[in-house]
Amino acid sequence: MAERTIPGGTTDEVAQAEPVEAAPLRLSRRSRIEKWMFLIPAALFQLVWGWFPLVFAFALSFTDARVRGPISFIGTQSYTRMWGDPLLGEAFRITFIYAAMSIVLTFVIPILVAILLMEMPQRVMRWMMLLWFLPLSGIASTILWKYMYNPEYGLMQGIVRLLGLPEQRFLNDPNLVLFWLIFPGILLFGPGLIYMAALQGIPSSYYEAAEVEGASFWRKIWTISLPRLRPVISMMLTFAIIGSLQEFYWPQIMTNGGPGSASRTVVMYLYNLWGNLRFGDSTTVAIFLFAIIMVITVIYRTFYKEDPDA
Amino acid sequence: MNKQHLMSRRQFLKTTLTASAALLPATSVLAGSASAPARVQSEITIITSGWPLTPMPTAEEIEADKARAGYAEALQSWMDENPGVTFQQVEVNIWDQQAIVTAISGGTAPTYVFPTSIGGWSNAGARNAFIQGLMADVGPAVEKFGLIAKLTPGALAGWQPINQIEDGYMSYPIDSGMNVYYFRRDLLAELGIEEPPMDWTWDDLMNLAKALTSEADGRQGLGALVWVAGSTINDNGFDLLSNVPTPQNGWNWSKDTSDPRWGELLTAYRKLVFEDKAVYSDISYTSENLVNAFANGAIGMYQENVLGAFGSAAQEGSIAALAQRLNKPYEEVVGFRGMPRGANGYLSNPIYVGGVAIGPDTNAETLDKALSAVDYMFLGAGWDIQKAGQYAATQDLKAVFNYPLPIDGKYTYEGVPGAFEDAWGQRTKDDILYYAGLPKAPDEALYMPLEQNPGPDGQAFEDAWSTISYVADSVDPVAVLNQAQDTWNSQAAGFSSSVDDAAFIAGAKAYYEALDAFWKDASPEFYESTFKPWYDSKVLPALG
Repeated sequence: MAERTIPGGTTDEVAQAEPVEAAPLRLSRRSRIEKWMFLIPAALFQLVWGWFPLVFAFALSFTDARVRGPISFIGTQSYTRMWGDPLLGEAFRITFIYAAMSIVLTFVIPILVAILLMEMPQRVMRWMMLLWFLPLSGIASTILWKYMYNPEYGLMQGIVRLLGLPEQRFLNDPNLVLFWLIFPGILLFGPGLIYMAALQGIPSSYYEAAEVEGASFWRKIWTISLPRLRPVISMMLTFAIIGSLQEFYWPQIMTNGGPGSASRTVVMYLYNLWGNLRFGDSTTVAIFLFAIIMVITVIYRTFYKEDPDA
Repeated sequence: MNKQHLMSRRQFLKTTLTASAALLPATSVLAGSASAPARVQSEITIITSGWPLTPMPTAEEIEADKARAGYAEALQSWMDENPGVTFQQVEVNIWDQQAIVTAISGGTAPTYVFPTSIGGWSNAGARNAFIQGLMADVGPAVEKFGLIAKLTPGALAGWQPINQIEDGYMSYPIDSGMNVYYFRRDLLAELGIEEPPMDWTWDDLMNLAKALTSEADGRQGLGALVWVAGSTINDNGFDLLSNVPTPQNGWNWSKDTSDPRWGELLTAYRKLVFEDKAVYSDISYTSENLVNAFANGAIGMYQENVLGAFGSAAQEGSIAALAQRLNKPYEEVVGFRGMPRGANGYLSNPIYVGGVAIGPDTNAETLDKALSAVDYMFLGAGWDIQKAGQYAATQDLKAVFNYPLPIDGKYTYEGVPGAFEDAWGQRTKDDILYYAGLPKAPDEALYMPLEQNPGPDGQAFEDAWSTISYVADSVDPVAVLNQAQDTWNSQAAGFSSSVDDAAFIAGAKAYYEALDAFWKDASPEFYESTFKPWYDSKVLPALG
């Protein structure tokens, strides 16, 4: 078997090379000031719009905050109250199911579809990318989908009837409402375009070399495509976890959390609490959600290896 | 590429800093000079979401809706008297509790807000929101514009007790409304079905819904949003009878849904929805869907506020447009009934006097001008100017008489030939006045001490109505109600009231005594069969 080569020598040569110790970079005083001048705007932005609201919300959650009048420190009352609130437990359960389904259906599938599309002729691929790039208004698409899901005259029921399947209640079905809320995301292909762009960045010589070696289609995907996509997958998965756990927009407009509480997410519940003047309770829920997202993200980032060559 | 044209990182930084330093004084001067004349031209800005007043309509807007000419004329006459005031429109949904509370807490609320939406659609909630500072006190304007003398005794009685809180006033009244069920009178005539009696019940309503349903014509009898499920039992006294005072608890109220009749009524409604298929209902529908469905004949009946139902035929989707399309008089096409009476004799009169409140960040001068404009446009000379202008522009009495329950009692306007009944028919007016005149039960908000602390909201029961309305699978309404009750009571255990027990008990005793007297007189049937046994067994023992 011929030895695989990489630019700069064989893999064995690179592995055996002595690591070069980098000399510590010393900046002049002037350069250090300049460095800080560049950093300060971004740091201020992050402090004002990122960390300050977080700290402020944390402080607010220990008070009986109100719009006007004196605010009192009430200790952990809001935490105790929200911990025992059955509707919050239900909202977290719904949110986790929604996030899991959303990640499987709108995150994993696009990776596979993007890889398979790369095998298509260039012309077909360009058309598909063009279709996915067409800008769609978020509000317009929710209104459109509301009509498409109508159990009486909606397009989706028409398709179901055409296929001879049992009629669906779509958004009125508490067992399937989350699936139907996620379904448009599958069709819209989600992050598939980003994967396709990343796949196009993989040198074709890798695949050619693999073909010379007699690698099968699946072997190429497993040993070349997926490892090279790892950094992109890592970033997109982080966004997907955070985004799906913070879902608000689609269920709020499409179902208002129903039927019953079957599609009410944590952020929707938090928003309702705020509207009911329960500012302390609302920020407490936000802190719960922040802690959970933080823990999940840290665990995931700890165990996921981004390096394609790892 | 010529390297001289590239800027190093250091050069870029230097240039940016130098340019910023140089521009700073210049921009300050420019900003100052730009804002100086603006202050002269417009010292007060009234921010509106489009209700109850809009900024001056443009020529294009007037061209599109000629009735706006009258509004423009009236507003211009007020602005001539009040130079330096401008109206600015912003996009805030003041009818959505979450949206408007978020705007108020963020300091971005418009000048005009709606008190009841801030309070979660209850008078008690609105009053609590007022004392928590979510609305400004409009008391100075009440006195300055001589409001009390302008209202009819009925409107004053409907507005003042709710809106006068401690030493202030929560809102400034502009109109009066109530929800009723509109039905297609022409279809009943075609089908040879008798109209329901004026004091109809939920059985009458369900029979009418079934009668108006026709698969061949693509029509369902009743258009319903999620809360109609709750109406089926609220019209039998559920709101009153499920709320039990519990002063011994941290939160002074608890829910009790154990009465078996609630399950029976909800089961009957679900049969209407899922077996008879007589209800046009889907989780995604809004009130707009129902309005359009009624106007295009897809439903035969729906619930609507009388304030929204008297638009002229020129308005697309209005009931008048439906009558015009069918080429029949309005009265022949559409009839309405008030809230159905309960099978137990319970009756509800949902009439209210609606007012405009002012955002809490509004300064005194702006508050004064904002309410001066409201007073002029709704209760002053501006109202007649608007109406005369609307008639001159449209020659359409329906475009003019769109307020069926005027709080100043005026059913005719200067410069308009005709009256409300000429536009909509004598029968329509008589029916509205009949329902408006029904007895109205005492409002809890008038007796109970003001609550400073937030408490459990209605989410648990809203979830119950949603399940009952939309879930077609086997649903046991009793189990759904019990779950809502348990959830609510579990939530309530986490709250404490700001009202001390003695004050609560005194207020509650006064409230229930008023209810006792009211029901004895207004509906002896309900009093004997339901209220009295419940009062004796649940309320009196709780209040000691």
